[in-house]
Amino acid sequence: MRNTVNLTSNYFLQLGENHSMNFLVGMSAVTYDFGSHWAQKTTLIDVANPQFSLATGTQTSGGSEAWESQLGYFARANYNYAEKYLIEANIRYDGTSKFPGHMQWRWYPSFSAGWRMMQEPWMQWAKPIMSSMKLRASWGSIGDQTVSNALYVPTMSSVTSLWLQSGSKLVYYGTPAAVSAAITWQDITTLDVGFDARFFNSALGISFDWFQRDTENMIVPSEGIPPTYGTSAPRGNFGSLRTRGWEVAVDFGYAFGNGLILSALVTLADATTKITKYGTTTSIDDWYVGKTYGEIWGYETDRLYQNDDFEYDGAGNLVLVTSKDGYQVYKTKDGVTQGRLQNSANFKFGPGDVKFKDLDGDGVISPGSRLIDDHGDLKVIGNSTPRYEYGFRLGAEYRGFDLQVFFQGVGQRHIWGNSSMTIAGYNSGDGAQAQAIAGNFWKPDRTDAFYPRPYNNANSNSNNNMQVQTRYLLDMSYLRMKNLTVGYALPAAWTRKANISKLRVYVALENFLTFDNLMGLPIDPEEVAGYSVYNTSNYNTGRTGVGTPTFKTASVGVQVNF
Amino acid sequence: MKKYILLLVSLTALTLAGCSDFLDRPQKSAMDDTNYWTNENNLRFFANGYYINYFTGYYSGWSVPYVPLRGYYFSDDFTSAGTQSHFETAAPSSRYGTTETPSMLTQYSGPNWNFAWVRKSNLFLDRINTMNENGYLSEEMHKHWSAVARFFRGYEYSRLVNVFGDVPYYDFVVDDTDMEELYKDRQDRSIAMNGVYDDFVYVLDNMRLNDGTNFLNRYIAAGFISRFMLFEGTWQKYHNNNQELAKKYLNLAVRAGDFVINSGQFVFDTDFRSLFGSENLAGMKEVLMYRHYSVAEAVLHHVASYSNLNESQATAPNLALAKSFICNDGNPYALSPIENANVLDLGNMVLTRDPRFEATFHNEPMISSATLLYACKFIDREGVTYYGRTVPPKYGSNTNTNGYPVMRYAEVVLNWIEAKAELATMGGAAVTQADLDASINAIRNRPLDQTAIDRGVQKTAPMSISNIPDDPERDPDVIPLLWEIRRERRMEFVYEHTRLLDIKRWKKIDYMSGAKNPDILRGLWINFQEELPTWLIPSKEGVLQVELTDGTILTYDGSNGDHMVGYYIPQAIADRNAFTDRVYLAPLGNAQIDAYKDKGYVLTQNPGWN
Repeated sequence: MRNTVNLTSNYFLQLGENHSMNFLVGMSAVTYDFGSHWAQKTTLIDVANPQFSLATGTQTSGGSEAWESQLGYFARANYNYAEKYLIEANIRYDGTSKFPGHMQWRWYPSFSAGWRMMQEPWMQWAKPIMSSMKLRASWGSIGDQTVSNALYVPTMSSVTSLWLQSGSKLVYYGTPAAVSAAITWQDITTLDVGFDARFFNSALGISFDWFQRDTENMIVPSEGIPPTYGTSAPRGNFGSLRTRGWEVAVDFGYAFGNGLILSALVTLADATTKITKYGTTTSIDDWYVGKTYGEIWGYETDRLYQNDDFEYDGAGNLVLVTSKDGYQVYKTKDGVTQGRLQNSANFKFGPGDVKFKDLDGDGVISPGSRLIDDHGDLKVIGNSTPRYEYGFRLGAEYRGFDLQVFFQGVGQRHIWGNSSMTIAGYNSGDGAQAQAIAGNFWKPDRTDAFYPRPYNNANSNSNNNMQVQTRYLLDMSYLRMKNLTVGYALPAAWTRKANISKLRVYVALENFLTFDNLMGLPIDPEEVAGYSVYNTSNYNTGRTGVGTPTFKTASVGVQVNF
Repeated sequence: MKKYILLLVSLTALTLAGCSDFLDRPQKSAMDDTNYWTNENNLRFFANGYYINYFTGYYSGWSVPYVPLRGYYFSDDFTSAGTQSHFETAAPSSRYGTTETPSMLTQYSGPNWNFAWVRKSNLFLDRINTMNENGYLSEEMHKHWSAVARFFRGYEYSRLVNVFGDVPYYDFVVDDTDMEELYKDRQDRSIAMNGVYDDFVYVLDNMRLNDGTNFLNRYIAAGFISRFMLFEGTWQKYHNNNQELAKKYLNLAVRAGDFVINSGQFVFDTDFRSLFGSENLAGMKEVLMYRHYSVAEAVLHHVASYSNLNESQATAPNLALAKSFICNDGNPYALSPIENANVLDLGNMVLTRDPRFEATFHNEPMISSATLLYACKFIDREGVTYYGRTVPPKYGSNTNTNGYPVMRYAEVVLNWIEAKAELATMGGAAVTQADLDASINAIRNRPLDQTAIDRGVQKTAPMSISNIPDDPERDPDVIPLLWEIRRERRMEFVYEHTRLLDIKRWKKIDYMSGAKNPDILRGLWINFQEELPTWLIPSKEGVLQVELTDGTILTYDGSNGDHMVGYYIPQAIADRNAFTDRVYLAPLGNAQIDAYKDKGYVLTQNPGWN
């Protein structure tokens, strides 16, 4: 049961001609009470009529209760000077039951200001070009409490064990979790500046925003707790990150005198997120301070090893030696060895395998300690966050004909694959892999192949030859024609005779054109790993390229209005 | 009007603010650490959470950690077709756990780098002590439950030391801000094991003798104590040549064994197969503790289904294991005067060997086994009659209901006699005839079931201290008495928790090298024309192989079927890669070592690994 009480009160004040003010105070109280109860009895007499009194088996029942509440007070003041200067200020005081007593309450202010520049008398000279111009700025912080209400409580739950004692299951109470007693609101602070401008009698519009969003005191597991702690690290307000980005939108619409109407809308946006606070870790696999969200660390690929990269004994066999870092490897002519990357018992780098660049020049390929100041031959080779997302929509109408086309694209995005579609030799048990791989792997008579000598990596996407690396990193950037519609409306003069006010025929194509950089791998650049209509998080165990792809659709239609 | 609204708002606000518990909403459906620890019954509920992890039995469903046959198959007893599974070749990129889900590293027969159970036991002990200070417990309760917590802590540290050797030792709940403790390097194994020793002594002094049927008590605990103390004692002797520590631990193993034996409560009253194939183990006097399964409660396992002859055993018993079974006259086969004792085919071995041979293996070559020798120890006599037919649920899939003896008297006496014999080599009292009679000879006098009797199986003659056989195949490093004790262990525990850890503590991991121990790459002697003519078919041409007595290998060519008589060579067999002594201890994960470095600490890798 959820009860919500919202009370607000408004007060409007007009002082003279130019000063108008609006005040608002209010409060909001939400309570949430949840109770569940269930009972079941097995062995129905009549399956068509399930009744408790008509069942003879074991009767079991259970239930649970939970509750939470939030309470908030807020006030807002608006000030408007002659529709020229706009100022708004807010203040909130929010409390929630999800945090321990002394951490429940927090103040959240926010401000915004706007300046309609074209209202200024000294700007009137620009009117012929610039129809309107509004500069905006805002700053505000709000609180986030969308977490479990038990984060600070070392709960002990009762569990039914599968150990039978005297014929029935043992019940036990689990180990209390490690918790942080001080847990409070997550704070989100946003700074935004931008403008909206229209030109040439509003035919062309430009809107621009630059923003910076700081998420502070994020509730995340405490950093740097080793396994010797014996449980997962307690969660607390330990993390902060900062997103900076910008968005531009340009629109244009114009009706020419001859009946031609053109319209266009172009959008482009970009944002990056960096970690600004999370313990003291310098591990490249952890959220070290300064890490860009989505960055991918890997090796830089040199090329594939060929036969003459190795030394041979008198019988023409590869020579097994112990490498500088203590692995059994085949002796190479240049002396650089990759023993650390031999992850399988019977895999040793030889002709046809991937040769990596020895970036740190120590003669062995290694990940060092995977720390910021000791990462061996690893470097950041890409980022999985979509960058430079853009779209454009063009439209034209002329004498009954109409044309609409919408393109969408991503300028930059990388992922490291995890499937037989994307990783050479991912798992021979899968029985199939992408033809782009199956038709282009290294063999003695195809030494210029793109993919290495075949080897079954047994369901791993980062072993042996397929270490995360530049050569096989997937470039997920794309440009796709999402929609193309061509239509023709018969002249109304003809159709009216049949009492039809509009008769339009059209053809629409969805997703018919895609430009990508996947080098023939059969995956959809828009597809999200693990997502399908059946299972939105772990479909096909999240393997790359085997979720539901984007459909191509062609449709032909007739639109009739009477 | 506005005024009234304002007034209303203020009033509501005041009411809610004044009502300070509007936001005070504690958990309703869970207890927490602050209100749970109030009476003895709650201690029992907490202790119940240990049972599945430490007394796993056949586990449940399809789970395999710590499960006989399905989890314990990596040792010199078992062989697969093709290349034998290699020891791991490099330190894993990451190796750790923080949850209480049972998990096992197959190549080490023990837990992951996981301190969840250490924390649980330390927390348990801490809360017991707090309850005691608050007057919630009698002295007897305090002692018993402290003993329970310390038993499980000792159990966990014993297993961690089995796998990793040196480990950081904690006898308290480490605070998340205590970096010096959290990041301390691994300490010499003797530090943890001395802690374990003190815990186990406390358990033997204080745990209840009876805490309810099949609940942990001092006898059950003593059985496990003898297991872990034997491990550590022999490890100290064979790996570190530290006789002082070896004696300390072995003496506690003997004390624990004495305690169980002298109670007089336990006898060998059940035939071998029934210990593993019966649905109800209650009342068997050999069984100190058992895990029970039931259809009604939907607690079921899958081990019997892998023993029903239909399901394949990809890692199967080999010739080396079969050879080690003693003849029923009490002699190793090479010394036995029994007729055909040295003919190592199934028909002869079933009749001439210790009854455990017939009870452990099926009496015909089975193509569902990689070696043709099929283990059907963990299913009852009826279960193997469904070969090639529809299998009832209790013998198929993951719906099996036979119980498992989590701790049985045979293990206690075998731990005890080995500890005594080891102590005797270090100046302790010599093993007497009475010692043998209480242990090995008592086991050999186990009853036989009707099937075995009908087949002509006979009990093995008792061992005499004045006439210990000197097996020509004995490892020359091992004296005859210990050799025979180890043999008894091997016969008793096929596919159970012991063998890999045994050869590790004896420093005999080389038994797993086919180059040094070629018998592990062979099956029993077989006459295909007589025993398995269905395999003399075109598809086996060029594939089916036997080894003759002179060592030559004969391959079936379609016409030499009547010459296909010899030791069976599992298909495409190849030895595992050469390995070194580093495999005695598990490597730690590189990511964990790096994480210590990140914080300015050191986590030392085990020797030989990188």
